[in-house]
Amino acid sequence: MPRLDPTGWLTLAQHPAMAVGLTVIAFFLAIRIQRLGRGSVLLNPTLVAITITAACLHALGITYETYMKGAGFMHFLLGPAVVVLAIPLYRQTPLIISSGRLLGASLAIGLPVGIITAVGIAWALGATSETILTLAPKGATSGISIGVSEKIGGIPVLTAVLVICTGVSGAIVGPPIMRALGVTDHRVFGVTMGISAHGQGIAEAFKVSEVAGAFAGLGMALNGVLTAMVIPISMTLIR
Amino acid sequence: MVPMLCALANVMAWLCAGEILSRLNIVPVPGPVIGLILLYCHISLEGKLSEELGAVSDRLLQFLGMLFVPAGVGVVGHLDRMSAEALPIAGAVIGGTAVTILATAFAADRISGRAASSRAKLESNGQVEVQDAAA
Repeated sequence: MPRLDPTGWLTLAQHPAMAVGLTVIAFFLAIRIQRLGRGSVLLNPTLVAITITAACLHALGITYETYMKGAGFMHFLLGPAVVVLAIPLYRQTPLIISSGRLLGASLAIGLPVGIITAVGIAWALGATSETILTLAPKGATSGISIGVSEKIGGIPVLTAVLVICTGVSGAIVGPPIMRALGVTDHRVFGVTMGISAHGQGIAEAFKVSEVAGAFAGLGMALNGVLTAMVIPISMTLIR
Repeated sequence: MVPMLCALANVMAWLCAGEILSRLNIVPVPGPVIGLILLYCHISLEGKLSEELGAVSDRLLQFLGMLFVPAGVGVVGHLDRMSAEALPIAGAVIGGTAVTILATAFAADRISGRAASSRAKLESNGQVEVQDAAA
């Protein structure tokens, strides 16, 4: 049987075909696994795919740096993916105008409370400053928060995972909290889920209704854009 | 084919502009977010969204969850930090999110309730007090 020499193996491992292939297959499996688990939020496809990919890399003895040489292309696509968030936002412009007060009030409370509770709780429980900076943008959708984390000196890769954990926990605790508050307005449900639990919150909101889903999308996009401005600007003001 | 390329070029052009502005540190905001705002302004000024640009956006956002995987895998290099600071991290992620939901839903619900009752006031002037008393 022909065998690859170590350098051949290394160049192959760095090749985008291998790294991107592994990631795509892992994500495909993760989607299947979530379906098998009847769509449970805990089986978040991104988290499951991260686990599968990391396990494969570990088993094959490939370092993260080597993997990233190939998968960097996929990571780069996050940039254009954030830019095109402008399109759903543009499509919902009439909704932004007609529900301006509701969106404004939700963001005026949700955005600062999200940042202050993340930073405050982490600080009070003794987190290092690097971890606090990593957690600060957790309310923004991953693509945006990774950029913010990089900009303010957090650990972007850790932010990526913690943002998804935020979404998952929001999707779990959000509906019971809002039931307890007696929220009946689908717009309120949606915008709250979008602001506090971004992508996963949108998925939960769409389970309630189309209206809730649309407001969740708006909440996520507006909160993301504003967080990306508020955190770095207030950081430069503090320094 | 050509309109599709045009839509892609449009997105990439605003991304590049955003990255340049971000690096120049005129605004301390991540490049893609500046690109998002610029693209939004561009479409708003044009007054209409091309079908192709809509398609590019839908396709790309469909796989958004997958695009986080490479970054997320990098967490393996920070497992010691995660276990050392497990309590503050879990507290901020779970507790912080729960408080945020509570506060946001409370504020949004009050505003939506007020909007609904003022609409009721507009529709039926005299009967509002009766409605309020009933509620």
